[in-house]
Amino acid sequence: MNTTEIIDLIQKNTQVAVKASENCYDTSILIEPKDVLPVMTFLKSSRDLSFKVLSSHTAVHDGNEFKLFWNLLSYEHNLETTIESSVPVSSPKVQSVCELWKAADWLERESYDLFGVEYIGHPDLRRIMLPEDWEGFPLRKDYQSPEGYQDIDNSRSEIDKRFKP
Amino acid sequence: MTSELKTEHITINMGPQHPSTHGVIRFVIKTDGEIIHECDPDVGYLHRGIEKIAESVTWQGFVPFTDRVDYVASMNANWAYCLAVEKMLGTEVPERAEYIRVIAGELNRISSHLVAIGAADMDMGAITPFVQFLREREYINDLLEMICGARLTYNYYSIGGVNYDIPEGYSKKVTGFLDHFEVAVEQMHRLVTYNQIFINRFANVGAVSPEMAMDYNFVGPNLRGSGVKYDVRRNKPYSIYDKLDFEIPIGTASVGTLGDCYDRYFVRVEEIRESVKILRQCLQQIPAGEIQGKVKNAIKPPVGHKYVRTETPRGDTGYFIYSDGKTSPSRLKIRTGSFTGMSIIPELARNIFIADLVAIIGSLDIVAPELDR
Repeated sequence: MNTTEIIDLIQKNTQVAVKASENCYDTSILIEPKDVLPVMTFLKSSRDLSFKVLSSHTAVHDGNEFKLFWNLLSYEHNLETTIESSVPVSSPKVQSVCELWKAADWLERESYDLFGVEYIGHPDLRRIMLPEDWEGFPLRKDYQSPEGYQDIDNSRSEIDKRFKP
Repeated sequence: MTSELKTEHITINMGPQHPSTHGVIRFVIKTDGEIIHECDPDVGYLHRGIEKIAESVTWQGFVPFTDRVDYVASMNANWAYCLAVEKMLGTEVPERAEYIRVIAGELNRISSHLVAIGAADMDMGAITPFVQFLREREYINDLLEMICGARLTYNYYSIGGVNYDIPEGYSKKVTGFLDHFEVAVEQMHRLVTYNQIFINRFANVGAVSPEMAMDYNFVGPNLRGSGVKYDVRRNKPYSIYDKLDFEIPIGTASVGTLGDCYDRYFVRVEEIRESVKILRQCLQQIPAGEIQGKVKNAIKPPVGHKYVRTETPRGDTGYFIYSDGKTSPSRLKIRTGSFTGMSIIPELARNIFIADLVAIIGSLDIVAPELDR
């Protein structure tokens, strides 16, 4: 089953507008952030698809928006698909899919930790890799590494700043 | 006097420098003394920002960093990244290079599984088998040193092939090792794997049902231990795995419940035997020829994204790469088996003995740098 057929199935069974997003490698399914839960619920519960595995989830900082990707697998039908959505950097909020896949718990916490994307409905949204009191989100493109953390100095010396390789 | 005794839960700290946590991982445990009521893994002590580093090095320059993602099986870690970039570029890898990759990868898989099952034994208090498994691993390290000069972080695979050809007489060396290894490893299994004391510690502990394994995105031997027959090498073949003959071992609840610690452990034992089979086939069939495909000096994959999965010893490692057509990736996400495997601990470690938590961590084969990246 290819992506076009999956899109047809989604459109037939849910009242949601989905379209194909093509790039030179793969075709992914582009949805609106508000439609994340209905589409994902269908993909998991549909008998023809049964995407019971959330293989990966991540965000990409691209200009003024975060592109969000969910990579789903179906071991039963040996299928693989990518769901894509985007949220603005100014208010990065999206529905959590924790209630569908337990694996989403840590994947969403990681994305929250490193990008600052907020997942509505996540049971325990806190930092996972970085310390609780860390400031900023390192994987954003505009991130500046801090001058220090607590009493550890990380600033560059004058000699270091003058050095041109 | 009788009902006045008050009990309360205490919160204790396990790790980050605990010998059985397989690296720097901390667990916050709520216990009444012996039974765990709540367990919260605190990860991130080894977070080195490898995904951020990827955004500032060239595509080829990132290969040595993948060694540090999973240093117990860095051949396979190299492979996972190189395969992802090759799929983006559409590079043809010469057949000889593919065979060398499988030989190096499977040797490394054996050595990684030896560490996994040896460390699981050691966590259960059996020191001798660990030392013996590591002795065998040393021989494999010698074999891998012969092809690339390094013993732990190999940096051997390149985008489009491998960095060096295998030396003359290598097939004979590896065959000699395999002949010795097959006998030696059976002796070690007699010592520990079929030992009743060891079975009592592992059987019926930390059982994960197939549904739960898929829900938590278990991969590799952990997933197959729960009875789900899925292996990327078989179900979505890459390299030359479709030409090779090997079985996919799955958990069978041979001594306990399906998906318990012993099933996960035993799948690794069986996989070592399958890897030996794969190696013998490759050594017989390896053709002569080139070892490096045609790749431009400055790699610039076109704009777009791709998600490529590879079967490493710790399961299906997924590289999600987002390229904006420049000389380094715009975003590179590494989804590893240890990360998703670890997320099951809060659910699995409820109402069990603290000693069983050690068994569960040992059977999940978690490598902390791969977990934190």
